[in-house]
Amino acid sequence: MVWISSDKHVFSHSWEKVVEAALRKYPNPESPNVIGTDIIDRQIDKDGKLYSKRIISSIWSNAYTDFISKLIGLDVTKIVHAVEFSVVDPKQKVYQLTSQNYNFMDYIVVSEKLTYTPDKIDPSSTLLKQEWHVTCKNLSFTSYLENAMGTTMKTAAIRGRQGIEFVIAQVKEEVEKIASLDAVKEMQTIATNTLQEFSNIHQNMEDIGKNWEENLHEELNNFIKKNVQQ
Amino acid sequence: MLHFGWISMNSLGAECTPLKWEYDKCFNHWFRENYLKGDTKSDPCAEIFQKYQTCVKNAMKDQGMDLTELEASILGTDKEKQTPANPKVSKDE
Repeated sequence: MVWISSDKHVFSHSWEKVVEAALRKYPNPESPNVIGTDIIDRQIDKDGKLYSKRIISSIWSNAYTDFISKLIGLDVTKIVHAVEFSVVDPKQKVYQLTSQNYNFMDYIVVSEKLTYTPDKIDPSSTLLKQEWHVTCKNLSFTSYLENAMGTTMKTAAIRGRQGIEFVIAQVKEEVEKIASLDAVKEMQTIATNTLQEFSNIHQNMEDIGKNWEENLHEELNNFIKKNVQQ
Repeated sequence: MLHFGWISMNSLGAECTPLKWEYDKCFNHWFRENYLKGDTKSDPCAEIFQKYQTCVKNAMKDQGMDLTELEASILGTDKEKQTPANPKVSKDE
């Protein structure tokens, strides 16, 4: 059994801007579950295509995953890793990513494919195509689980897109700061603001993270209730 | 890590995080100022990348992570998706 779904989204920003933000997607306050990322391979071919292999480490502990853990007897609440393969083609303007979970591969495989291209209707915008495949094996309730996991992925994907917008704003601010650089003054300001900013960001992310979890709990509880009744 | 007001993610190996931050900073700058402007040949971050790679590969080994199986499954998927070069010929035979 496989659960498959797809979605599209248009960003009102240039391809270059979106790709730069997507490469720097984490951290963003919409993805509080992601706790670490590592590039483990990166190469450029003769055409200038940039190939990257990245590990994304996250924690998916909430009422829903705790429930799933009890249901299937696997602890999915510890740190889980996903592996992402990506290619940036600057000539054709295509940025494609494929990712898959590393943990629990014998039981569940959740894969996601993302493609960023300039929008054909408005080339100053960027079209994102998303595809998800969820496959469960060696578990009972497989179709229920596939549906449930798939829905979770889609919810996370919407948050992820909001995260990209957030990072675009950050990058823009960064570029503007550099452009108007009075180097010495800038460094002094950064030095004095660093701690304050860090604690603000941290607090902000915690708040948003909490809201995100609360919303997700509610959505998933409703989802579970609805499905159990059916 | 603040890059003019923004932070980077940690590494899966805590001891690699400072190297990762240094590399991310270098890469982000290169990506915006060189790569996206057509200069794909320069490689100013090579040295720090190597140091970071040595560290993170050791951390993965310590945590018992082996990606062989996963890579094989992803490569396998690509192979399966490929259509035969000339399917009609075999059918006619």
